Amino acid sequence: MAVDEEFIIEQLTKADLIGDERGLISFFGTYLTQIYADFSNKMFFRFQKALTPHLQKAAGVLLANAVQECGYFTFRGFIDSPDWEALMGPMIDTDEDMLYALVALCNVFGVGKLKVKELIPGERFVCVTYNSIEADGYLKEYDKSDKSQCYTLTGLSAGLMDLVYGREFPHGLNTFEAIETKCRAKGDEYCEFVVKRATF
Amino acid sequence: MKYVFEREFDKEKNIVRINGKAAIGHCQYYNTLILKTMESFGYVDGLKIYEEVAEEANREAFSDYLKNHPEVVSLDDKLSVASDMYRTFGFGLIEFSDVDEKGAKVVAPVSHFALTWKKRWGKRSAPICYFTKGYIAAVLSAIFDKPFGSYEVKELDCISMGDRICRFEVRRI
Ligand SMILES: [Zn+2]
Repeated sequence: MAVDEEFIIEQLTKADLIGDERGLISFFGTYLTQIYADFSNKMFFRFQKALTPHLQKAAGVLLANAVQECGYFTFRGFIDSPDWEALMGPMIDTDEDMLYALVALCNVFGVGKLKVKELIPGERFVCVTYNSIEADGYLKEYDKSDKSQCYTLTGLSAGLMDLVYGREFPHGLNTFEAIETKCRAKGDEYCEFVVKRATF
Repeated sequence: MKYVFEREFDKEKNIVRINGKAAIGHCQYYNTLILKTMESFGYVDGLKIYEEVAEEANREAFSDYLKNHPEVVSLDDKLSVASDMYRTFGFGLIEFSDVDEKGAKVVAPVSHFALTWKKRWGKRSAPICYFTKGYIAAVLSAIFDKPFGSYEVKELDCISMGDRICRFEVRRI
């Protein structure tokens, strides 16, 4: 049975994720916060602009790494849960199904609409979005950038490949690395993320 | 008084809006590592930027909320909505006291940021609740209609340092 993304999104966006009586949102073994996209975008872009050019790149890599790790651990918790089994279990036969299901999961968090463009099992994964929330945020504050700016989606796409095709959990983190090859922040029509096995 | 949480999911774009504004879910791994990144580049005070943007973004959101909810009138109601909004978003619990135009005292018995930091990297020697500091400044400046940057918030105790609760002092600058 193929992965039915629309069904997954519909099921997962039914519940409001809100803080409990202690003000915490417990989500499959991790704690989440809801944050205005404006905050995340402005905070990081302003910080980045304050750095010298070569450190700006380093900061972008750090942010992408943060998200790669976040995606890796948070989504693993989800995969291990009975809820995942109930919702996704019947749809998933192969690793490729798993990757498509994870992309559907990303599409629940409000980062923009991600679509798989290419998948070579275990080797290469390309995904695209026409409405990355980071590119939107960047263009709201600044003129066209000379480099790609969607660090969250860069990290996230690598984290998904780590989970599906990396070494056994928790040793698979950073098996893959991603590059944003096209970005709306630098004038491209859409953002494109290419994930390959890490070279380091 | 409760905060009215209105979340919509835009199926066309896969965008989440909370009370009309785009929002994203972030997990503890992201939140803690971002804070660490903010303090990793010595010559740029990333945590200050983080706090300022927290004030800016939350001030706008909270002011808009008050505009759209004219039933929230008294100071006590505004403060309880602010605390409930903070709780709803998963940041933890905050309680305001001695609030007037000149400042306030605030405690946070639960802090997402401090708890997850301590769990991940152990005790800190300095406070970490920069988001909360910005949030508190945002609430006061929105309620008393003061411009951005009107309040200085100091975190005196922090759960990340091993204190039982986080404690803040606010004064008008
Ligand atoms: Zn982009």
